[in-house]
Amino acid sequence: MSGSLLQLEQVEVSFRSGKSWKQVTYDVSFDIAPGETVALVGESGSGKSVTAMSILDLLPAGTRRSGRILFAGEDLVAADESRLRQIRGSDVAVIFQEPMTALNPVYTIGDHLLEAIRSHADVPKEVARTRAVELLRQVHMPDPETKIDHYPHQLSGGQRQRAMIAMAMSCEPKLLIADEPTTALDVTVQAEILDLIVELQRRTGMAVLIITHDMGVVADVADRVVVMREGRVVESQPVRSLFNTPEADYTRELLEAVPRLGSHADVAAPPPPGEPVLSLQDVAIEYAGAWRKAGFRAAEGIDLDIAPGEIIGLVGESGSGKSTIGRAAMGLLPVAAGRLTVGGRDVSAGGRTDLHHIRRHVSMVFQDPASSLNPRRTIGQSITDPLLWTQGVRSRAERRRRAAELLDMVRLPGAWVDRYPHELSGGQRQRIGIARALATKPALMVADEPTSALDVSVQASVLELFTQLQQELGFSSLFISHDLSVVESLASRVVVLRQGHIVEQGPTLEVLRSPREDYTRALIAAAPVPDPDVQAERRARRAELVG
Amino acid sequence: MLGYILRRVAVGIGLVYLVLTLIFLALHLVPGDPALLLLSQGDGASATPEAVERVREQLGLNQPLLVQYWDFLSGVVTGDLGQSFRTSQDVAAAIGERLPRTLELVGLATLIAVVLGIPWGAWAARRGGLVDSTTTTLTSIGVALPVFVFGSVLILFFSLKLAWLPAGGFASMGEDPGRHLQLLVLPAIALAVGFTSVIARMTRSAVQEMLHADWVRTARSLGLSRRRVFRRYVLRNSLNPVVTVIGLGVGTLLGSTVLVERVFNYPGLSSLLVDAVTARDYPVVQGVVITIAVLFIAINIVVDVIYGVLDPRVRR
Amino acid sequence: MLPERLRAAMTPLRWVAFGYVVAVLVVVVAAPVFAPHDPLQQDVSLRLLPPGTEGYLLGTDELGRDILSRLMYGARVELLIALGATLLAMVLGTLVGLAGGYFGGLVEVLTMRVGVDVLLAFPPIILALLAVTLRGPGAGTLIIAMGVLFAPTFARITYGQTISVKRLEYVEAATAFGAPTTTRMFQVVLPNVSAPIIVQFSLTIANAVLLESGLSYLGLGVVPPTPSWGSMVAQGQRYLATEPHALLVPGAVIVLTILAFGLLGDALRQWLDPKSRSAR
Repeated sequence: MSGSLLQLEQVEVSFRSGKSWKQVTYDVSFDIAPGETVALVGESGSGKSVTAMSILDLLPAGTRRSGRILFAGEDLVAADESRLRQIRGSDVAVIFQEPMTALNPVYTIGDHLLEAIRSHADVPKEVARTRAVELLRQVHMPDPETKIDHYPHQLSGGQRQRAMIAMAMSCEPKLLIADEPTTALDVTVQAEILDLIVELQRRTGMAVLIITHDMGVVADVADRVVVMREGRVVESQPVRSLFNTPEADYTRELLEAVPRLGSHADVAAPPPPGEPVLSLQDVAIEYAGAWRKAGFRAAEGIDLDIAPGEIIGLVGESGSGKSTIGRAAMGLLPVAAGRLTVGGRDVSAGGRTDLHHIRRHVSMVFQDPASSLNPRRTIGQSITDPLLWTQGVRSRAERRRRAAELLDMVRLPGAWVDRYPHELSGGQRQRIGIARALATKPALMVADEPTSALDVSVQASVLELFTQLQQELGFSSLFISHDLSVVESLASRVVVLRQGHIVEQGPTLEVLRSPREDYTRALIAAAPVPDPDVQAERRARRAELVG
Repeated sequence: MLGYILRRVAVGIGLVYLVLTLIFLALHLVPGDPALLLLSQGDGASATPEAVERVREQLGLNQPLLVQYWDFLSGVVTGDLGQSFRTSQDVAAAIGERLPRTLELVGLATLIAVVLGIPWGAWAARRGGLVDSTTTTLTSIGVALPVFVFGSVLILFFSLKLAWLPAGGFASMGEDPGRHLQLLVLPAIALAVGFTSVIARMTRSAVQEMLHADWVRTARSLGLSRRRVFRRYVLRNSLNPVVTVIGLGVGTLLGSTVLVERVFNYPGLSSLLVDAVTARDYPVVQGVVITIAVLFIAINIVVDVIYGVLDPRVRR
Repeated sequence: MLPERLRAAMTPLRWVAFGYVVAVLVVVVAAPVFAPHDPLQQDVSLRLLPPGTEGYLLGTDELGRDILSRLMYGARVELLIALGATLLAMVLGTLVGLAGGYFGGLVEVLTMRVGVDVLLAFPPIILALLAVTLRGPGAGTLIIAMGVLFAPTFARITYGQTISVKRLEYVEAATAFGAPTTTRMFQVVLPNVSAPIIVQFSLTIANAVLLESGLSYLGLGVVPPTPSWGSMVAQGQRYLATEPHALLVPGAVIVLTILAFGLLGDALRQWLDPKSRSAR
């Protein structure tokens, strides 16, 4: 027993592939004490989620577990299905990453809660319903009496996650397993959900196993940290010593790769003023509505200038209009009102020649490396298609030569021109995306969250490449991101957006260190910093504010 | 929900209007004089001028196109579908007599297909292995069986060899209920075999997909029994695509009655249609086609409403 | 030698289906070479011979015509109509679905809501019967009618795929980097929606054979005395009690052909489009 609530001893998981077994985790051992919060961290493919799901055997069919998983002294690997069922949802509860797909779309929140309550207690429906409302209130769901009859798709992401947590709390578990519970959420919502988990933990004394890739979240909530890589535990330490004196090289690299807000004393200096490459004056952008319905105004009153060679960071949460502005700058969305100028020419009308002008001067890097390249074209073709389309470079040989050059610029072997996107990793594909954006030698590059789908270590190297190229080639950039620390590391000016309006803009240091607006302050406060001391201090301050 | 139903009905009515327009135009867009076209028996033999004139008169082809269009639409709305060329019988009355028989057949076949197909597909997906691969093979054959071949084989075995059931014909429910039901069995089975296979296949693949849905894992994490998880989180969600397939399938079934009624010499709506097509009795053909199309649209409205009941996301 | 996914998709049964389809296609091209007799030659003294009779491997029909030879020539008619109609349907349907999905708005209403939904309001065979009434039976009528009435399926598939592919970033990237509309539609979107269309091609051939044989069973397909599988079944039905082979043999060929194209469609789906869900 040794006082632990949960103890994993040499746990290994294998997936069936055809007739053989493919082992995905090796010799995973760690333990959790009652009331403790342990974070299981790692990048994609590290086996952290698989390990967490193996505890209650929630893995898909065709999976094999070995080793020992002791929960309150009882081995869950040896336990049969009916015993596991008694434990699931009562002693150990789980919340998942995607609250949209984790809830059954055909049942209401109340149906879900009733299912959770009645799975372990034989109570009448009316009693269960009263309890369900009570649970929703405990997780601070606004207007629980109404929301209980809503379907998942009628709630916001944060509310869905609250409902999920209410379900998990229905039998007051001793252990809560939270699998990337805030990854799909905006930072301010993430902060609320983490606060909620901490609050519930304080009240009920449950232990929490949180699975995450975000070192900021780790620093915020964890007591102890288990770092995993490629199916193995690399190290496990109390949170402070992990951040201060990491033992494994991998942990050190991981911590170094995390961009830290406030760590950049030498933020890029604004370039000498010149005629702006891109200028927006009181611009509004609308999405066309359905037939006879008004369009949706996604951005309004946007004033913004980008000088030659300058990187501007455009930050905001989902629905803030940051991507909309990027698309309008690229001519992908029409300007509903105001003036959009590219390279000194007014292109607000969005006519044929205007678009042609934009495409000669502006290019774009997209967010999702999985879908930003046409799977049916080789990367060489994808990179140089812009040359064919905007500059009429018809010679195949010429395009091939340029493709090799461009690959070289993004530090990939020139021989890769004939490969297809699926042969490349996410980070490599994002380099291809950058190479494509460089093909036309643009004056301005719109980068729409180019690293948000990447692991931190990959993100660090892509950002480094981006900065180097920008310094070499001197293009300007509109860099769109939800991550303040990423923006801080490369932009000289920051524009903060909220619900389609600019909240504030100014030099990066000024905005991020001494913000003028409450919203900016809230945004900065919500973004967890990978430093347990800072996070502990923030949490204490927040607790004081709440009273 | 009421708004959703009303919207679906409105769309259905619009569709009926378009369908009627298409049928009206079909007669006029075909190159050549429609009257001559209908009278030529495909062998180029020319019809007498009197016959042509009579057809013109009956179809109102001598009037301006817009007048014809208006007469056609108002005729359909008031239930006046014209008279048969051959028998001069009122088309609407003839359809009224035949329609219930065909509906009975389609209804029975649908019932068989749904009752067998859904559990079969669900069972195959859940069990996997040999059950699953056998199901896949059997349903492949099932969808490949033309009703007129399979129907004939049924007659060969159950009527001619075993003499268990009559080979075909019709007896009204009022006169001889026993024989009425006996006569329904083979045609309904012939119709149902392909439909059962389609439903089983769709259920199978939908269940297989839903087994991997995230919410299934959530349900398991609550400690629900396997049975309950399967019923409420897998099968329940699999019904949505299955319902769509059933809606489309009923239409195919309506079409297949054309063949089944011929095989079993069953005097339903579709045999009326086939006889009329063979005799190029245009008013009857047109009337039956309109009836079947309207029926099919109505069925699809019902299916959409069921879909709305099953999936809260589509009813807004 | 074969790609791994293709190898996994080709179960032994599907290999048999593939072999059968190849054999049928060979017969279609070279029916005169293989057919032992003139399919139209009648000889009442040889009527309704059972299968296995010397010189008449599959027996004869009620007019003493060789069933095997009639099946071979019937395959020509059958496959010509099925392939012609399916090709027509694929081209029409893909263009309509691509345009509707890509442009949206009014184009979508006109193509998908008005065009496709109206055609789908009829069971296919009913619309074919309407066409036959107006134009009279014959191969030309059938190809055009079936081509038009199978097109909506292709249109719906293409439309659905186009809608989802259109949202992907590489299509937006093509716009951002200045690709002309035709390039975007035919070089960027079309290749990425083609897998289910190819699958549907095989399945539609099966459906076309099913429909054509049904129409000729009713005597409304190709005009006699041209041999067709469906009319052979209809003729055989009259002697079902005594000489069932006259029905069972052509019936089996119809079933095998539909089954083979259906199985090939399944194989193509598993190979090219494994994520899709369909009853066929």
